[in-house]
Amino acid sequence: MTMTEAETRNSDIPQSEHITRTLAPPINDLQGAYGAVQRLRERLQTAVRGRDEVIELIIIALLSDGHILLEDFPGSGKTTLAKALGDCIVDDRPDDHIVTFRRIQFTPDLLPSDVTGTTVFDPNTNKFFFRPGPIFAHVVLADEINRTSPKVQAAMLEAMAEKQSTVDNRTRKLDELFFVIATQNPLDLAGTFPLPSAQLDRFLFKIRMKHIPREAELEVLASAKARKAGAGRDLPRVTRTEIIDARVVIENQIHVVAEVRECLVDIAEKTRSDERILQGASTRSLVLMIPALQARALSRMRDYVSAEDVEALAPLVFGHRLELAPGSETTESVVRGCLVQPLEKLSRSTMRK
Amino acid sequence: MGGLLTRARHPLRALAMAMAALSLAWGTTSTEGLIAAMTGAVLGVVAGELLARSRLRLVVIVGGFGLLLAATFEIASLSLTTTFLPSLIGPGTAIRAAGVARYGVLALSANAALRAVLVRKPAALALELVFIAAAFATAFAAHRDGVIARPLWLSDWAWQAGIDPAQVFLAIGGASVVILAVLLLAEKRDGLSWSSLVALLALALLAVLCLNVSGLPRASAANDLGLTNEPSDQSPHETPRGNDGGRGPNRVDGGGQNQQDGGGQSGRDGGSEQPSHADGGGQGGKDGGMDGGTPPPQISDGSIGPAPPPQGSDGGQGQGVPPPSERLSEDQGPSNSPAPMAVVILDDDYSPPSQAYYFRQEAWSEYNGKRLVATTRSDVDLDTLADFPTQVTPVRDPPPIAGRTTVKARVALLVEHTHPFALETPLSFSPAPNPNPNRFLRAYRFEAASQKIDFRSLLGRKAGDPRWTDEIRAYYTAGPADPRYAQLARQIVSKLPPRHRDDPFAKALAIKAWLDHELIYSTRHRHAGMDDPTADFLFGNRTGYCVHFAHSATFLWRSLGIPTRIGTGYMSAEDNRRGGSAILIRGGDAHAWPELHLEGLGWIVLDVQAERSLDPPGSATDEDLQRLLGEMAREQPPDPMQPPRDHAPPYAHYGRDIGLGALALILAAALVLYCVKLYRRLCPVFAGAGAMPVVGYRAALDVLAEAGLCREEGECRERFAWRVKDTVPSFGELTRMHLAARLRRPDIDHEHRPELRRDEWRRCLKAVRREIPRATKRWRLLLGLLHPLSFLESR
Repeated sequence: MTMTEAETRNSDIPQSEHITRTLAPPINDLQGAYGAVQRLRERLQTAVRGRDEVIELIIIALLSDGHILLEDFPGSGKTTLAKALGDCIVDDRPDDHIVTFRRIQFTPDLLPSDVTGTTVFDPNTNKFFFRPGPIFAHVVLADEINRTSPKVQAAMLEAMAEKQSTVDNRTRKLDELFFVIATQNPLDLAGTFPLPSAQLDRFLFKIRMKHIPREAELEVLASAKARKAGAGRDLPRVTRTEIIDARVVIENQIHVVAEVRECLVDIAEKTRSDERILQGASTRSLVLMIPALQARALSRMRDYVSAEDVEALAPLVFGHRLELAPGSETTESVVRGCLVQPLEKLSRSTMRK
Repeated sequence: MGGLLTRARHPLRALAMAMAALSLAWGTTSTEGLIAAMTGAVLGVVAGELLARSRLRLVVIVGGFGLLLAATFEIASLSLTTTFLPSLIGPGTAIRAAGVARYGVLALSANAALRAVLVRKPAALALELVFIAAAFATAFAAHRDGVIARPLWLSDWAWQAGIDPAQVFLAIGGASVVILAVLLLAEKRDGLSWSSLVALLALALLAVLCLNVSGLPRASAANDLGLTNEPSDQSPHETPRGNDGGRGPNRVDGGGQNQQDGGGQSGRDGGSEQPSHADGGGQGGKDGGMDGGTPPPQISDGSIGPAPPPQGSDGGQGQGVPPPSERLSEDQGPSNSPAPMAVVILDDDYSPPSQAYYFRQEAWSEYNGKRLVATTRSDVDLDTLADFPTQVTPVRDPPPIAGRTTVKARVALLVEHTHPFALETPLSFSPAPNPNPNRFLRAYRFEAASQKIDFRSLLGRKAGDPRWTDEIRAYYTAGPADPRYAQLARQIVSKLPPRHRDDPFAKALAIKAWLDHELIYSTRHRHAGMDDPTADFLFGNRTGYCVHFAHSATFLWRSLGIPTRIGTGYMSAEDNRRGGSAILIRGGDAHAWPELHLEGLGWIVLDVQAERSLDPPGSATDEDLQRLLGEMAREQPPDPMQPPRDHAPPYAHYGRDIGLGALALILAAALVLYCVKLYRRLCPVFAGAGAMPVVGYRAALDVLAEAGLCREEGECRERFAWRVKDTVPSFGELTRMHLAARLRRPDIDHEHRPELRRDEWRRCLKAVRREIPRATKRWRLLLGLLHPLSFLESR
């Protein structure tokens, strides 16, 4: 039996309420891309208070086609954040059966098909049809990803790496805009399946969220009612196409000088030769990092990548990819130590004639 | 390099501390103690480092080491004062063990406490510097006073390589300062920067400028050998003794009589063997004839009889030559300086009968109414030479050859002398090439006819020279009119057996023996300011030194009509030679001695050797130094054609010149640096728009660095600008312009690139210059302006 796209049904997948075609002009310059970033940022900041840094990183990851692993305690706004992100994106191609936001709560008894979808027999037509799983969405929140079995994790991670999903030997493409926000609890490790480093490598950033500042927390309490009432719903949103276009603009128009690439290679070499690090940074991480740097430059309203971008992103990109020798120091301090010399070299290079 | 240094800094520090401990402990303990001190220092550094990282409080650490130290010292002293440990392992081992414990634990505790304090409180780093500096200071301190060569192994090497040891020590000190400074820099502690290094260098420079460390420390050889200040010193501050002397006549008889017996007694005993007899002699003198009062004739027989017993059972050596060890303590001149003055290399193996070498430089024979001085006549004392020889110069009045042997020798002077000296009695002087112009001032050779005949064989000879006129004979026998001299002399001579009473040498010897016993050696009693210092001495407390002895003997002998004079120069005991051919003459060897003239023999030295001395014994001759200088004096000169470097005084300002040169170099360097600074500051004025992002930004960075605002290593430019935004708000814009100019795509139109416009840069730079003084203290700005290296901090 063969199954085609037409046979795929999504009747029992609830659609996002606001499917409206926006008439925004296509993005083809940095101004437009920055406008999209600003719209995203404003909506997210309205929805989640005191998380400006994480919001920026999420936007960077979204624009550089990466995924994010959040390490945080329950109740710190992960889901809200992910939901708000899904809410920001308008699906301007409603025919493709792909929704803007899905959430998967990972548990030990979850099966791969619960994630990817499965073929179901329809007695009316006497045919099997494919019912897509929750990963067929633009933004997927993979909650507590370390609580499920490696099999399910593998299915999830295949989707993340290849942007495709294989069910019953049939490989289905995911959408171009496929963005995963995974979370894990850093403390409650009982009964978990920690992600192996090869799988951690699929995430662009691993962000350890800290508690928000006191003022922000007070603001959260004060604005709880307003947010429940739907404050910020009417702020402008971005479409899926805008994001895809912005990616292209960023890739083409944010300038990366050769010294920055040299600096990245220097950092990687440094991590490989450091005796505190068992396994240094991979080449793939360097490749992934360039668009992230470009996205950050855009988010900072620059059309060039500077040393500051490297300094800000390198710990997040390399932190979870390195394997430290048994010892006392934290990953962050080790990575920061490896950054000093390459960054100094990069900074000094601007003074050379 | 930096990493290597950082890794190596602990071993380096341990090494430096071990060397410092070695330097401090050198000479105060045994070899085992030195090893223990070095080991303790290394362990101390390690222990201090480890303990400082522990959670113990600093007070506890330091106090604990203090307790450990106290306990160890207590145990060490206990183990030495009680008999248990020495009886168990032997006294030598016990002393060594105590030394090991003391020095080891002292070095350990000091270093550990120091290290712990330093790790916890980096500001105390000066302590470590002081510790090491003190160690080297002691090394230098040991260098002064003409003890040229401490530690010897180093200076030996230096001398053999033809380098001044002072420069080697200076180089070591300088190197250690540099190592320390580099260590301090490598530690990268707060408050330590290039400026502290500069301060350290300035300190070293100051030391070089102020201390004249180069060249040999030289003793000055006074013309009078430092002896004559005694009679001519007119300071009349010893009047009480003058009164004492005034009462003299009554006492002289009694005293002389009283002590004559004892003198004879112990003169014989003292002359025999025992070095420790000086005390006993003193006793004997006081007790008079308590132990039997040996009759005088017997003494005479024993001591000067023509056929004495073969070996010293009862004074066969009775010429009063005490063992050299005793003589050492007695013969120091008033300046008890161990500074080397000259080296004499004997060509022939000559062993004087008096067991001492007398190097005569001058002869004092003219009585000036007060004392003897160098002659003013031209027909006497012709066996000395006034000037250094430029050719073979025979003395005008050579001694008879009978009873003498020819000795040839080479003299190398370390100190300028006014007259050449030679072994008594010289025949001729001749110039010699300076074997080592870097070391010696000059060299010459002499040939001497030295006494070979035994003192016993001198008996039965007439005094004086038959060729002499009566006038010369009277000249050599002139003395003070004081009758006490003749009286005393006659009294002493009267004890001689009758057959010797007319023998000049026997009489002289009897007087010498009496003087040996009666006089007390002391450099502190100068008898200065007296009308007749010799009388004040001889008829007073009889305490004085060689000049007094020589004058006493001379005046007594002259009162008996024996032609006499005083020889001055150096005396070195034969034992000091240690069997080698080199004799090291030191400042303390300066001496004056009486000589008498015998017919057919010439001038014979008959020195007075007091048996009692109030002065502490001097240091023994440094054998290593003697051997080393001897080898150098023997060396052939590098170029025989080169005239000896006689007249040019050695250039002694290397230290100052090095210091001034370094100062000039530093000034020149500072000038260059200021020029660089000025150039970098003024560059934006005439730079083109394309260069502006670099030179303009550099100027701004320099201005910030002068105000003490510097980007840290690894800090991004934006972050730095953010950090200083409160002080210099415009700097953020400047940074953005700089980065945009350098990092943006180069193909963008210049119209869209404000960061490449000169006027923008000028405006921002002006703003930066305006903002900085507002937020910075004035002294800080001035300091930054003066700092020649401030631009090194801007990056």
